[in-house]
Amino acid sequence: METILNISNLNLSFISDRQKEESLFLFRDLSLEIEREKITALVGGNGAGKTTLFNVISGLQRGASGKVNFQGSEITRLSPYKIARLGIGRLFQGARVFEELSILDNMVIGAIHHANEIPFYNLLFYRKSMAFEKGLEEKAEAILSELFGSNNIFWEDRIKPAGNLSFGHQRLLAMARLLMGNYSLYLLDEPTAGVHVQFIEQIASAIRHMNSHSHKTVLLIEHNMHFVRQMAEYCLYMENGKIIAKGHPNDVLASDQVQQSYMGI
Amino acid sequence: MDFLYHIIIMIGIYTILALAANIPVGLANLLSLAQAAFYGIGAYLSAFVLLNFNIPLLPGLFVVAITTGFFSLLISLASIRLKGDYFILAALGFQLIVFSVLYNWTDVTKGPYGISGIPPPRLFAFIELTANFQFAILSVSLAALTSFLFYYLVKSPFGRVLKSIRSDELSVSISGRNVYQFKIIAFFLSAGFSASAGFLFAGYVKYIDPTSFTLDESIFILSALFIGGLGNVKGCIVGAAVIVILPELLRFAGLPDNIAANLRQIIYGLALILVMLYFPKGLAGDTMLK
Amino acid sequence: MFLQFIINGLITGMLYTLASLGYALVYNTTRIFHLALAVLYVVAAYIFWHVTVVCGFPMFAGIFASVCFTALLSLAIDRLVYFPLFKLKASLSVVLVSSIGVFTVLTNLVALTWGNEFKAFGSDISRIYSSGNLIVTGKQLFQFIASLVLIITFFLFLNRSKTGLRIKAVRDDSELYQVLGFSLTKMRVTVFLLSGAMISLASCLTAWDIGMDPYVGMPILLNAIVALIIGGAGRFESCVIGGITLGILQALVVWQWSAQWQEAITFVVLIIFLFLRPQGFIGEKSRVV
Ligand SMILES: Nc1ncnc2c1ncn2[C@@H]1O[C@H](COP(=O)(O)OP(=O)(O)OP(=O)(O)O)[C@@H](O)[C@H]1O
Ligand SMILES: [Mg+2]
Repeated sequence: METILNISNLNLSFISDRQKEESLFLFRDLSLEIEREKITALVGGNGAGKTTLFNVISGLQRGASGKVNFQGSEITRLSPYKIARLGIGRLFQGARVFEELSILDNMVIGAIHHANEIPFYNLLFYRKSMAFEKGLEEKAEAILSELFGSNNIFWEDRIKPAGNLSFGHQRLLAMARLLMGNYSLYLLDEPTAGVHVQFIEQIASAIRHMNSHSHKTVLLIEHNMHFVRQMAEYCLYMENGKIIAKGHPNDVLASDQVQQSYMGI
Repeated sequence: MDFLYHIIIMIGIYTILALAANIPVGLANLLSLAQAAFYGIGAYLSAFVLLNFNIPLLPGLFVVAITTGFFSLLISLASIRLKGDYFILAALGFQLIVFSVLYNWTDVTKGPYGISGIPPPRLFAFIELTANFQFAILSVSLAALTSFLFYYLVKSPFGRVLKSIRSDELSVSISGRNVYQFKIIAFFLSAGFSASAGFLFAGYVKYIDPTSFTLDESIFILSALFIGGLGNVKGCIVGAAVIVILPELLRFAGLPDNIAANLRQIIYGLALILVMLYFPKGLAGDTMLK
Repeated sequence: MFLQFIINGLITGMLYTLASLGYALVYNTTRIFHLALAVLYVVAAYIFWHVTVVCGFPMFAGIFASVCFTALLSLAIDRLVYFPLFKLKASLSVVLVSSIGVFTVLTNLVALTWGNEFKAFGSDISRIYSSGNLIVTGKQLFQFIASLVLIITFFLFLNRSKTGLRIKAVRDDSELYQVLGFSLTKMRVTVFLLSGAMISLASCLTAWDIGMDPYVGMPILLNAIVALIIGGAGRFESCVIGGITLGILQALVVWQWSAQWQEAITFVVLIIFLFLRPQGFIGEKSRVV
């Protein structure tokens, strides 16, 4: 068993130091480990701090004490873009495509930063730049047809703005865009929330694609317990700033503690 | 004939200024009210270079553009640290500080008296550009060059990142882009282009004073951009042509100069309101202000 | 000498406070970057001047006319420009650009109507009160008392009256305000009328002393905005703290260096605040993400 992400003794409070009180901590000595090449689900009530935990991992939330280790190197205070370059990809809660950009541009921008993005590079090295762009477009086409079949609407409408897509399609596009980045860890924040049921199977297959096809690790926030049982091999339950239960999803979700606090049974 | 050259030169200058503003405003949606400050810094540096050094046009232009680019770091820093209206306010503050320095630091800038007797720039060390028609050619060529560069910028992967910053900055940074770096480059280019317009202006009118680089001038440049439309070259050329030709038409209509000046401003102001309300893409733009 | 500058700065600061309250009324409730307020300031001064100097009415009639006219013009700007944009869900930048448009149009209309040159109110030498080295002119004394009364009245109104409490409610959460069944549209009417009245009072009190031209509005408005920011955007007390701080600071700059650097120093202070303490003296930090 190899861990890819290791968080130890994370503390975070949004209340300034002077008035610090025990109960106002969002994270209290939170520690967790994520195993490589597995799909892990992170479950917890509304406002438990799941999204904030993702923010800490991806460098968007400052001010937390403790350590975040990714593939053996500490990423605790790195900038978001550096963390992404190290191999952590993230799907935000909500749609979050670049609405004004074309579907193809959305995909292409999912690829990690490259020299092509230096201003006037396309002027100075026209051929090289065009070839590179072509490569990215082919990759986008491959990913899209892999996920959604060879006649998918994304590729057909690739020059149309992504904002025209329905919410569910935008969500799918955002998932496909993540695959452009070749990340080793994917943080997915509620991929199925607000999405019409017809898309859920496609989202599930995209996640499986990330995991089994390219052997990547997935950490998933979900409120849809059916989906968690279906997808995850491991489950973490978060409450009061800590991980209070972990194990196989069926066991965790069946435990008394979780039944009481989350399902309200 | 000189009158026609004058019009052409001014359209060239404002095309460059509008294109320069188009980089932060049109692509990255950073509403910069400091464009006249870059223009002014460029013009004063050009005056300094032309008066003191005997260097030919292109290297001179290059030095001025790069130096002005460094001043833009103050604005890009603000755009990194500050969001929304706080950034706009900081840019406004920068504009007013630059004006105040140009106006009050008399030892260096000669303050309200301005700098006169600026020698004409020289092409390749021997051809002095003195005649208006030479300037018209220079102005058109520089505007064409800027348009060309801008065109490639919009189409380029770099432009794509700027457009995505406009849409959703956080998503850009978690896709591994250093957003700060892109903003810094965007303003650097914008300042550099504005400075080359300043160079043309200083070389052409041979006398500059701070009143050409006020907040009103920033607004004027943005008017050209918004009236023409954001995000492409066409809009900037159309916008520049409109704001340069319109006052001349008013003069032809026989209005006395002082009334024409106010009337012209009223028309720009109305145009800004109408564009914002009814034609967000201006006359020929690709995108709109967000 | 020092004390003299402090007194002058305090009086200027109180006038800034009035202007700043006019700005804050709109900004705190609608987030509109209301640059057109600068021209309302100018219009107010010219109406006052016209009614008293040209038509020969007494001063209070002039102020009354100016307040009414400016308040209505302020409302008209909202109805004709901001509110339609609000309905189109336009962004703050779009509203700002349209505000610049309004500013440009009206400033030039003022210049066309009354001319570009400087205008002053009669040259009646007002009384001078002095003790020791300190000198306070009658006009300054009037400015001081009038703005003190106005500021106190404003805060009584804000904290005691129903309308005042509603204004604060909108400031805190305009969506909740609507959800609770109140009309944001009606609130805008109140806010714009009050803002126009406030800026008009600030303008009349200032112009009566030092005169005006069509371009005096913008520097004053920028001072008013800076006052709000350094006090802490989002609150109304900030205008008082920021306004008076700024007035005194500028007076000290004049004392130590010279008047010409006043504006630059103001903006240096603004930028320092924006970078180091964007929440101002008394504001609260807001959630970033
Ligand atoms: N920057 C911030 N300042 C103050 N409070 C914050 C901040 N960020 C998050 N919070 C608070 O922390 C708590 C956790 O928020 P978070 O978004 O992480 O919850 P979540 O577990 O993702 O909930 P959900 O399942 O509803 O998405 C919430 O109460 C939220 O209001
Ligand atoms: Mg969440």
